[in-house]
Amino acid sequence: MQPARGSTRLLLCASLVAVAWLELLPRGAELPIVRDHIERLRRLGIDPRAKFYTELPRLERAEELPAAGPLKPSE
Amino acid sequence: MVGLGRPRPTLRLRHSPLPTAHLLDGRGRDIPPDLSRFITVKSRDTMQPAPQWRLGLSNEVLQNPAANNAGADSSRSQWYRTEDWWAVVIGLALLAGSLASVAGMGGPVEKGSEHPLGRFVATPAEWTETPAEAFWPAEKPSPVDGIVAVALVSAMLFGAAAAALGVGFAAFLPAFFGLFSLATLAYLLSGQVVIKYYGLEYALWALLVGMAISNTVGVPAWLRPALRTELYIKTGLVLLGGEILLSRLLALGLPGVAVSWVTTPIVLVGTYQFGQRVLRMPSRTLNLVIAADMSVCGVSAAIATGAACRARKEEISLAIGLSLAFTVVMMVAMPALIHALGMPEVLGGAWIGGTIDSTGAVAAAGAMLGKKALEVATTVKMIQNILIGVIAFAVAILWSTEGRESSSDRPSWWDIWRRFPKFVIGFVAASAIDSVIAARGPEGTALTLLATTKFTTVLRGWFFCLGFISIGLESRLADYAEYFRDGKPLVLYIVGQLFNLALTLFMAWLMFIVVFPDAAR
Repeated sequence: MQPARGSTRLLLCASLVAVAWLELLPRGAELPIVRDHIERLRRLGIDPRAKFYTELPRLERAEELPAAGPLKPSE
Repeated sequence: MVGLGRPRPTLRLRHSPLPTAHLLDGRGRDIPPDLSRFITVKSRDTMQPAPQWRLGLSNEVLQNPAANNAGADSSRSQWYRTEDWWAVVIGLALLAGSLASVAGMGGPVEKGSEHPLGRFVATPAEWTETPAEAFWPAEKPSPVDGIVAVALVSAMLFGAAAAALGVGFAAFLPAFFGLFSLATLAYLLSGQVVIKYYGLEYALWALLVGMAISNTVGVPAWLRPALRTELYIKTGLVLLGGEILLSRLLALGLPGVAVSWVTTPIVLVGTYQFGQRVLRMPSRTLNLVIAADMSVCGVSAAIATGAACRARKEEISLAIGLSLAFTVVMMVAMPALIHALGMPEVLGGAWIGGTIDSTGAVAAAGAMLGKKALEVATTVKMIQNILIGVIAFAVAILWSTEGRESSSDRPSWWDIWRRFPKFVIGFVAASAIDSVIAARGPEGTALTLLATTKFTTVLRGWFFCLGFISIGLESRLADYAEYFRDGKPLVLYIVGQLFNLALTLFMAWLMFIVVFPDAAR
């Protein structure tokens, strides 16, 4: 790939990212449905990017979790 | 130029950015490692036998042929020239340091306790309007000191490893800081609130940032010494092992255990068999990585199983891309569908927990249904998280012990040891150490959780991010085109996920409605 052409493409990528992250996404964050979604997860301390349970503050301590169910089958 | 022991005029060498390369036949397919011994690769200056040009080749082998595991002597006497062992050493040292500092605090570890080294590790904070908020947030302490400290400590540790692997420290250092800057950019992109709360994590942005550079201007020569994908990812995996507390497998309620333990292995094996027998996937490792990330827990499962079976880097990133795309859709669609169907909250939570790949997205989707659904969903997913330790270990054993050509060609014990990915030893050891400490009771559990969640988890995130930036920098778009040509990976994921949805729903109904109707009430 010619260096000048590659540089132009990289610059184009960077420009698209700048427009999306500095202009579009901040505006998107103000939409009521998006704002409500963000506020609810913030309130619950949930980070949807978590890859493992240790990245979710509410799951850090197993002893604080209610059991998922009784250990014996019901009658 | 490539020369052969036997005439094979269509053979060509695909030029991929260092440090990996693959031999292709005339149809663009990888030549199996076993055939590579018949091939001679000729460069402009030298001719050398080619067993080192093989699938899953690690960097040190290319840069230090003496480190090739194929040489028994080198494996015995030069263990310090392999990335796997360096990953074990660095990972266990960081874990031990974290545990020792927490244990040495004096006094019991309680809820809200601060890790003594916690201020030395940080990631950019979330931001809304300007990226500066990520470094100087209004209501929180600045993470800048922690980010700089991570960069310095990582540079020292990985620099020492790189020096042992044959890369000069002086060349590594500026390259590493360049790479770390790109990793910071990936974190920054994933920290914008809309991106963050819709679950588009840094792994995706790290891959894209790296690929944007490698496919436009190319990777600058000064950055190449720091491209140690396997070293970063395997060190991160050793640290991840410390977060796998085996006691949690059984401590979270029988219904959740039953859903995870029964469904996950069936879906994993079923999807893999479908890929092999029906779709006839050209790559077993890609098949396995997609099956694991879809059936277990997304990105972390893809990384762990991919490293255990020595999958190609683009296979891991392809599986992660598929997983993230479907995760975002399912995170929004499943709660809506469950609402529309009028499904009980507990059943819906179990269904979500067993099917959505990413742990964070499971919590987000569960929260859309309600508190009970959130608890059940995250419980089921947490058990799946733990299962990844068992699955990665099993995959490493299976891949190391299987025969090559026929049943009579069974590998010797030495072959098994030679093929076995050594980082798994550190992965299992870290899990065993923390599980033993946690088994001492609530205080032990609190100690291990503080030592991991407030320190090694953050480092693990940075190491994975560095690994994904490296993969992106080593990837060319053309490498992915062949996977999309026949659409098999996408078909595999969709069919496997449909199977997962059906089986998980049935098991969740059986466990939470029929057998344990009082569950989570």
